[in-house]
Amino acid sequence: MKKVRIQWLILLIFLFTLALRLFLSFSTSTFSDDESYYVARQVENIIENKVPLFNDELSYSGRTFVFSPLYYYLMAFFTIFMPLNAVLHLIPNLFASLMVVVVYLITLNITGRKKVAIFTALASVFIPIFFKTTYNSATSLSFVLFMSLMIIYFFLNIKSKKHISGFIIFMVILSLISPLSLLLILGFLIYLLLCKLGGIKNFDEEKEVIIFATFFTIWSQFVLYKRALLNHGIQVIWQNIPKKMIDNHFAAFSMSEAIYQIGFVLFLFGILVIYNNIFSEKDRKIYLFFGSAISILILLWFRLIPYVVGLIYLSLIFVILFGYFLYTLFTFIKKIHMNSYRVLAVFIISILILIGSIIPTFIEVYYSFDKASSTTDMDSFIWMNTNIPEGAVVLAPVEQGHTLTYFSQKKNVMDSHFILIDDVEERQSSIDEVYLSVFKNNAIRSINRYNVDYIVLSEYALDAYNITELRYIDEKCFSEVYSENGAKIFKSLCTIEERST
Amino acid sequence: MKKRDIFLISIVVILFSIIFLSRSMSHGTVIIDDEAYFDLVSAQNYNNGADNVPFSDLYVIFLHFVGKIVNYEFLLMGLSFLSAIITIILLSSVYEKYKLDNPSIYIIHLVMIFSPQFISSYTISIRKGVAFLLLILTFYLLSNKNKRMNIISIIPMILYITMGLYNVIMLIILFIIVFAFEKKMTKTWMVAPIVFLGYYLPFLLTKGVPYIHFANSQFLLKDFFSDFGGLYGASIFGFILAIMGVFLMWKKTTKIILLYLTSVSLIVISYFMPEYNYFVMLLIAIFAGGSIYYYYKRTWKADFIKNLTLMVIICGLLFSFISFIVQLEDVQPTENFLEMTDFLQNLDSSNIISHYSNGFMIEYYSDMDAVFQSHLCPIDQKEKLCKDTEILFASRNLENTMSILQEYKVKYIIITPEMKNGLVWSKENEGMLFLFRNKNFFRQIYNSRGYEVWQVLKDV
Repeated sequence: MKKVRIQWLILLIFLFTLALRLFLSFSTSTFSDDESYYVARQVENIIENKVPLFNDELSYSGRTFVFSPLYYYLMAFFTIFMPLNAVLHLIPNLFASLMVVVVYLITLNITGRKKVAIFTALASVFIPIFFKTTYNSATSLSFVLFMSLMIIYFFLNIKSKKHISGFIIFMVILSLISPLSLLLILGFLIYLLLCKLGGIKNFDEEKEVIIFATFFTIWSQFVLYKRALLNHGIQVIWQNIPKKMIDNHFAAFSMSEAIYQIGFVLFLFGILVIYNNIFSEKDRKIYLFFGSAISILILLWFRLIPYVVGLIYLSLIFVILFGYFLYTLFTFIKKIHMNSYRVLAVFIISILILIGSIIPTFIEVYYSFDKASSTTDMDSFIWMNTNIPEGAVVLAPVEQGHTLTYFSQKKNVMDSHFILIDDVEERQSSIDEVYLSVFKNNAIRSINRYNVDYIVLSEYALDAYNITELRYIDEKCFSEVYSENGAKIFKSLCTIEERST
Repeated sequence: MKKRDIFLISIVVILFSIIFLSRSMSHGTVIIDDEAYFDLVSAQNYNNGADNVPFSDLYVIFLHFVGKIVNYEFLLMGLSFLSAIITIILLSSVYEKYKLDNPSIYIIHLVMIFSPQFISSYTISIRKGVAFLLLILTFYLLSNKNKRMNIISIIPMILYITMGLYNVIMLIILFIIVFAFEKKMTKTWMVAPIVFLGYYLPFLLTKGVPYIHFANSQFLLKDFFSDFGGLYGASIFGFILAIMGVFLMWKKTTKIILLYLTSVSLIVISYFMPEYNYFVMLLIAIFAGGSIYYYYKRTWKADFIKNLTLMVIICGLLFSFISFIVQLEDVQPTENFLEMTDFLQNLDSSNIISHYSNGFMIEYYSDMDAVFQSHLCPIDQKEKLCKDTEILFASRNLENTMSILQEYKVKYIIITPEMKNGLVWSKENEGMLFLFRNKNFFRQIYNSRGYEVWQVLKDV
């Protein structure tokens, strides 16, 4: 009877999470990130042509993509049952919500206490950085995180053959979807090292699946990203991101920001568990999470992993460690025969979770509403779809590249997929020049360089470049073809001929 | 000869035949990359006392004389097959001597044969293959208990020393390894410094220490790993496997810490000087092979994981190998490059410029003198040449460009597709390309599939 009740409770938490996420996601008419529109284009292409866009005529006015199409096929599969827009909002949120169940299963595995596992699963709903990044995004991140946690769950139960098979299947899928699988591998290897240093004996099955996963993941990444490796060498880690933008993606690790984004309660109690395990308890399972945390911290420290992704992974580890903390705390309370204080402890921790995680989550969500591309910009992009010629090249900020291409179906100068592009720095500085230049000649030179026909002065551009207008605009060289609610589109009319000295 | 060796040699013969045949059919020549052409140009110019060769080594002299009887292509192919086969036989003997069992010898050899470094050492820069063979032969003879063999080791040792000034570093490392394994020092070793000084001292005293070709720090990893595009690089998958092998064999090898130190120093040397990475090829083969053998022999709790893991390892090594072979197709000289050099033969002999990596190929296939050549250009001019190359290709100033062209008496400029796609320029009308628009000074006299020949018309 009790077992049934627990299952209903976890189902309830899952449904609550999904409902909350979907409510917030469908409250905005746009996605919070530009990348989601790239996903939408890939899925649309699969629906229409059965293959993803490897050669895209619109991105960078014609380029080749290097990626694994598995996730896009998965999304395309769901469009059999519902419209594309619903799929792009629902499926990533479904996986993000399912993580509540996985967190429950993992915590149950390491603590053996159902109530603790339920409480931890509930806490995992409100991780500020995770919620903010994934609730209104169609990218593969939610799916990758779900797969990563599932792999960890299978690993914790590796003595059973069923779980070995699960581990292998999920690892193979994850490796074929995202290079973040390497992060997991590094975590497993550090776990082995920690066990060796701590004198803990590993199961043979553990070593065996780690050996397989290491080789398969490395090999699959080489197969998938061979062209990118040949083109950029080791620099491929930083995805060929222009220097100006690299600090946003691979930011320096900041402890105070990490504490806020993860939630100070989870962070504090997670650290306590690690400290306790290093010096006294030496629990093999906790070493796994400790190893993963170390691998992420190393990668974050050396800026080898996108900052946000690193923090999300770290937050998921800390939420599980928080579960272990609760287990230790309640065991301790029981040990000192002060069971009457259990309710008080739960109450205090709940208050702390409210202050440290739930409130920051909603604050972050509130601010991210603003970040979602404004409908003003969207309208200007949609206008271009029917009102400017096919094949026209449109210049917009890099951060709006995919959105522009998705809605207008026109060529862009640059978007946020930099791999295999040789001149990202030049393109970035040309775009900056167009928005910031005081001199008409400089701007026209940049416009001519990429055969730009139209320039979008979007709300986002005004905000990002901190400008109110393009200062060099005159009627002779630019004609305003669109102006609605602050967003403007200019047609470029002039060219500058260069002569040798 | 053992069945095992016959099997391995057959694989080498089949592989090399496929590579040479496909190269010959698609591009019309089996000689690949500028380094091989450096040897051929040096051999051609041997009697002329060409000043672009710092040391005429015995390899060049051999090519010069035998090249008079046999066509260079056949000669290099023959050398390639022969040196690879003898290397396999010698290494098998060495492995047997150190009591490696048959399956592990198979695995180590197969890892080596299917490594990009083996292919590049024996089919591209065959000099490296020959050098590696001489080194292995020296080791084989030196480590032999028979004193007569120890004395005979002087011959390959001398030949090896004459093949490059910095080969002496490899020889020192070899001596350390022999000492580590055999715990003996022979008087034969004393010959090395005498030969070295006797051979190189006159040159060192008159011209100083020659330029060391360090890999460009920006492309260090790119040169070191074939998967990043390095023509003489290692397979990164093999390298990872080898690192695992080192950890797996750690217990057995703590006694020979000297060997580990030499291994590390070898990796460091070849990291900065990729032309010496053939030794790393052997290290990777031994440790990666050892690693595979360990996984093969280990008792696995889940047998299906064992099979999957071994399958992935084999796929990984084969993938590196196959993608390297595919990569080889694009290495110069291609059919289009040779068409261009055919055109050059119709022009008057004069000085020509192109990217330095095309220098010796252009010289070999035409009567032109390439001003910019790869790392072995005359040492006293090296610094100025390098600077002038940079200025020439980057400058948009006609006056500067013309004065450099006049200084080197350049009549023709050769542009290849690689030069326009990142090797020199990455944008249209970048640097010197911009100046080509001036029809008073430059005239395009050849343009086919991205290969261009420009004539310099007049002085400033």
